[in-house]
Amino acid sequence: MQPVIAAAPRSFRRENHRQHREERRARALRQLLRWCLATLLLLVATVPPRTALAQLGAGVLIGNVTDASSKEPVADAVVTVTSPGMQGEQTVVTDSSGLYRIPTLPPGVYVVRIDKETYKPYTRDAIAMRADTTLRLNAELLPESLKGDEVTVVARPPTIDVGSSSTGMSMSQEFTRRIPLSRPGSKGAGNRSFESIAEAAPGAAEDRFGVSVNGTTSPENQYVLDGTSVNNPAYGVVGAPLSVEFTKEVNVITGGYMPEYGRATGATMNVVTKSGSNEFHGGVFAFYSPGGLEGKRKPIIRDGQAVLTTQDLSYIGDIGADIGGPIVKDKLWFYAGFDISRTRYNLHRTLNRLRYNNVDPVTGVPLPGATPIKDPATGFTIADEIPGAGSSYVAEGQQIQAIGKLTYALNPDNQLALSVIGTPSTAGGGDKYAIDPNTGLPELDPRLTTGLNGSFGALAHRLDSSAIDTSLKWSSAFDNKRILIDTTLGWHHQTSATLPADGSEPGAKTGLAGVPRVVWRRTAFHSITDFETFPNSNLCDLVPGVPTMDNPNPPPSVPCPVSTYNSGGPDFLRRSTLDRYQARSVLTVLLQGAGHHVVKSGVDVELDTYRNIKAYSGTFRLRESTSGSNFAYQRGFGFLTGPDQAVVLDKIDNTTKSITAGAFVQDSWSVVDKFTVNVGVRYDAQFLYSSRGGTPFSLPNQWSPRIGAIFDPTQEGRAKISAAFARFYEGVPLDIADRSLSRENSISGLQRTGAACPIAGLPSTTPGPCLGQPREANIPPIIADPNQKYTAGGAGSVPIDPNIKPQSSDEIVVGGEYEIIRDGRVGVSYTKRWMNYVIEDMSRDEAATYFLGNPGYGISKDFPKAVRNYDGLTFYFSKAFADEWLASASYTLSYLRGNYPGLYRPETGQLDPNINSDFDLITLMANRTGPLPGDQTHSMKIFGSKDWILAEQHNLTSGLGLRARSGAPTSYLGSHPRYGVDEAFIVPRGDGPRLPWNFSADFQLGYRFLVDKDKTVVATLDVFNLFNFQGVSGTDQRYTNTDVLPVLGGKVNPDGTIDGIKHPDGTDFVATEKNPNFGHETSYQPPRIFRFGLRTTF
Amino acid sequence: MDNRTWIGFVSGLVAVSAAAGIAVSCMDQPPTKCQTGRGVFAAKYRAVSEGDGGCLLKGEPIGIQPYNPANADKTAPDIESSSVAIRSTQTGQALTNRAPDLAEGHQPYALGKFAKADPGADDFCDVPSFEPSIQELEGKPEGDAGPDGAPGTPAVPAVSLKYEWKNVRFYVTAAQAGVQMIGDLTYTKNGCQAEYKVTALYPSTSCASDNDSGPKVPDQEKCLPPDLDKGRRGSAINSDVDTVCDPDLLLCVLARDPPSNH
Repeated sequence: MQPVIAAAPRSFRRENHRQHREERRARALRQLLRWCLATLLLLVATVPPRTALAQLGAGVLIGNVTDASSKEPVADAVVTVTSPGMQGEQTVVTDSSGLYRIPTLPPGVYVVRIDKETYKPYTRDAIAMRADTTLRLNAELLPESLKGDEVTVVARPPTIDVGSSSTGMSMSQEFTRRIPLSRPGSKGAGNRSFESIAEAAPGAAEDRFGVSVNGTTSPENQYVLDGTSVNNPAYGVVGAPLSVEFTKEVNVITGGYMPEYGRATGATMNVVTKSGSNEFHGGVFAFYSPGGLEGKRKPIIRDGQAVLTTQDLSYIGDIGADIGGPIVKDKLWFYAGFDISRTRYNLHRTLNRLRYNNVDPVTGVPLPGATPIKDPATGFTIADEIPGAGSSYVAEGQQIQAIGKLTYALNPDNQLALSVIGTPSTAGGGDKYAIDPNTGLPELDPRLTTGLNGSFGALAHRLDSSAIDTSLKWSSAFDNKRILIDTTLGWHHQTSATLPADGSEPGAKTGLAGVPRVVWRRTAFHSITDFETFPNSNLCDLVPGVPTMDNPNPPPSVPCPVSTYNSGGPDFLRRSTLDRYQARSVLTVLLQGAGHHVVKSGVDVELDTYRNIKAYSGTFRLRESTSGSNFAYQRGFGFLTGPDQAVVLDKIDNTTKSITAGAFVQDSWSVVDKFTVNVGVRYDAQFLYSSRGGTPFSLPNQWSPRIGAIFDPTQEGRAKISAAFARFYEGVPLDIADRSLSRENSISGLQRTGAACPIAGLPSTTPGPCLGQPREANIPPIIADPNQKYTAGGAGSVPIDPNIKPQSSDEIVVGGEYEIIRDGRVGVSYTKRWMNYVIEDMSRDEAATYFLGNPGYGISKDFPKAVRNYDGLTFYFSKAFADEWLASASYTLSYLRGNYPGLYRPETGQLDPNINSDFDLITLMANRTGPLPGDQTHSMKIFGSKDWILAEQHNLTSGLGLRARSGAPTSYLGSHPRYGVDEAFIVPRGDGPRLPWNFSADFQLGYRFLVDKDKTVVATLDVFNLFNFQGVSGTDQRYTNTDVLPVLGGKVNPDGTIDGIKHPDGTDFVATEKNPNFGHETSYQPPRIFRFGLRTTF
Repeated sequence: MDNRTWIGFVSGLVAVSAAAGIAVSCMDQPPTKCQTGRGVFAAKYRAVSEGDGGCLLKGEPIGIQPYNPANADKTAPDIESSSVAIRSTQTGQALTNRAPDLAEGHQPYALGKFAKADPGADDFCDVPSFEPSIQELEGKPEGDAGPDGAPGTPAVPAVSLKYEWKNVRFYVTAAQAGVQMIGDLTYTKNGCQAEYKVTALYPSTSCASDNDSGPKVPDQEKCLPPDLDKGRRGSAINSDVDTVCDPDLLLCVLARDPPSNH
């Protein structure tokens, strides 16, 4: 489906290809050297950190208890585990084979004690249990009869997860507090959301809407908070960005997971929040990143034009506190916390005049026939700021987070936990621009858009977003903890709104919501004086041309040109309310029979609802034609009841819903102690209802087999070799039900430009669209069409392939791991992923009508199949925090090819899961296969932390994060007549030069004062991008702004040109239509930034 | 809970899931409502009675659009009711240089209602009757010659056009949402009347050969779907549809009465 918001064209720059490439290469080399040096230096000082491979929720501790002298199994020994983080203790007894298994341990550090009459007690501490892992601790008990001999137990605490073949990284508080993560300025960094730290996992990378893994996109992830899914029900992105301050463990599971996790084709991010315990613990913390200490940003050089925008950070900061403890000891505990964060940027807008080659020496006024001067180095037109015409704005966003949790132990075998988490945020409004919560950056970031090329009312928004998550969990155990039942009820309630800066509601007739957006984009550029009045505006007076024989009427030169200008209202607006009600119950049974089994089965039902009120301000958007002779009603809601009989809708108000029901069964079977087989299957069925109700869009039969095998050659939990196969089905977000199933009725048409039709608020000399007059006939006319003035889209019902298959992908993971030092392990894993069926909307008639299907199958068999193939090889080392240091290092070599990026379109930023424009236009199907935007071959991450004991109560802490990543592919993109820019691949995807490598080095230094055993005060200083590397992170891939067809078999000539480009009407493309800025840098790495932190804990 | 209990629980769970799976696996998707392609169809006219032969047509592109009335509170279209309008190329051409005929009951398109909201068992949607398309257009005399002796605009003759459609049927499935049509047409031009059986295919696609010199000849390849591996951009016609390149119209038309599928 067509994106709602078309990307604004970027500014033009002249090409200077080769020189830029060489510069980039040299720069990359210099950065590589500096980065390697930094790596070496710092590896000497600190060292690499703790990773964890894990599955969901609780960890499992298993082991054999034997008699140290006879080596016989010891039955009925009492195994007790305790932890400061656990309420009470857990106790089991060994069976006849001496085996014990404690299956429900929350993440934390444990002490194990084993008692048996006639044996000496056995204890082992410092067992670090990560979320969803199985650790093996075998114990040999010393008979009391063994007198006199002093026996030393040399066993080390286990660290390898021998029960699972899943890949990923479990991040404890030790990790998140000691490593500089969540760079200020990135998404979710204001309060360090759990998602913002997930990119530290091997195979994970930041993308436009969050963090993605293994070649997928972030909306494909499943975000689970205390057992409840917190994905945005409409778009799949994270819906409750909780701060890591309130999490006990963040487990990023990138693959190989069992059927208890489902409804995601990406990663599962499982977040366990903190709980109260029998001791009071808490803290107060504050973080502040001042913009004044920001490193120098490399300016993006643009072709001279009237409006130029720059931005700098003012500050990012947050303050918060948390506390947990007993209400009734051993019975009822509480935990509570809050955090308030704010992000503020300064936006500077200047108006500029081009510099001319022939000016009056006295007045400086350009003489007739003068032409603008170009910078010989860059080829760009030079412009000078007009004094007194600049203006400054603020872009701001704030968020409050609050968590409250009660835990109640009815008895040792029954526990209830109730948690409520609220994350309201607001951005913009009044006289401020907004911080976009999807990116963490100001809306209209000059690096992503043309900046403030319009009036404040047209460009600024108020963005409100808020989520409340409530979950009730009941855990009960029976039969010496051999049978467990966990039941969770969850409610995710979310609201979000995109409003005008004045806060008027979508569909309102008054305020900015009642004013249409007008997009001015004449190719004979407008002057800024057509839209704005400002001091010294006479500097923008047109420069007359000098007639010649060839050109008797030369057009005047525009000294203050604007290629695109937005006036009027704020365009697309919405207010949505989203709810998810979820019930989940899991039965775990421990069994014996041909080895030991942990059998889990469960049911999981969710109801999602989505009310979305959407409107275009003033009911439509007007876009000037490139000739300036008319305006198109480009967007607007409405429908036709007969030929040219239009009903214009103020707004569309849809309520859609989805019901998903699923069940799973799985067995983790230790065949012998050396070998574990995990096998299971999950079934899901999803039904999506349009706003009209009726028969749902049905996606049943989602059978997800999962199988894994783990072999421990050491028999002691010191190594493993594993392999797994899994099928994953997508939980389809409700956007498809809102936009496609419920239909988005739109009408478009034309209005002529009239000299007597000025627009309110603009100079009266600027001709505008004649809105009071009847609409004009379409150009060119289709003489046989019953509609001569209107074009209707989206009415009626959308055809759906009767045999449509749910969207799924398959995965194979193989790997091995070995414990090389105490608490430290090395490993290697290989992941292969591919898509099976993909759900998308398609059109055969250039978007006049759409249908839903699986590209390449069924009614869409004549469309190309959706392909996304990922291969990734990861080497890693991980050491848990012990002996004052932790480390985690990984290197991933990956390959990602296909024609299907995922649930959003990286080229345009369109986020319409399952109805993106990827397969919409049959004329644009060519050249879409190639390296996908997420294909960054090499990725290296090194994290480390070390504490230095200065004196008894004084510690220094140090942490580092080093990252290196090779560049993404680039493409040659063209425009489509209906869909706009960047939709056509002129030559095969990824045929452009790759972006250069990016490097970054982040450090943390801290001072820790230990007041007493439980009380500390820590002051930290994080420095992100210490060396202020300004590597290129984006180039302009828009080869042309004009409408062109993909060139079949096309390729790029050595001189950068492409032969055989044609317009859709068959005429030839001309070289002057090439975007002069194509291939030039559009963004650099974020500059150096500091974050000061202060934390007290007790 | 003993082992038998849990085995019972698990088997019960699996059985319920399996049953649910099977039950919903034969569940239908939302039906494709009666609708038509939105735009220009290639219509082939087969004469049933040729009248005096002075108004014989072999076919022409015709524009077809579906519509829905507004629901009660005018917030959305009511998709349980739909209508369709047909306008011919001849009518459109006649209107390009003449003032429209705005007389009561005269309109440049035929307008009819679908009998039902959903396709019948044979996947057809019927529009039994239409208000006719009638345009009685006055001519224009020749324009005055220009001051430099240039000829004035040529005279435009008056013309009367009437299209009476009935028994129109659209083939509507999820794969082909009203892109094949069949119906009866009574065509009257300046008093000459002819009756046709009409078949039409959306979208109207030219199959005239690419040769720059000599007469254009039919090129069936242009009716075929895209095949990017063979360097063929292809047509937007659904690949299930069996088409022929009509030598008179040089348009891709249905090979037989709908459903004209492979």
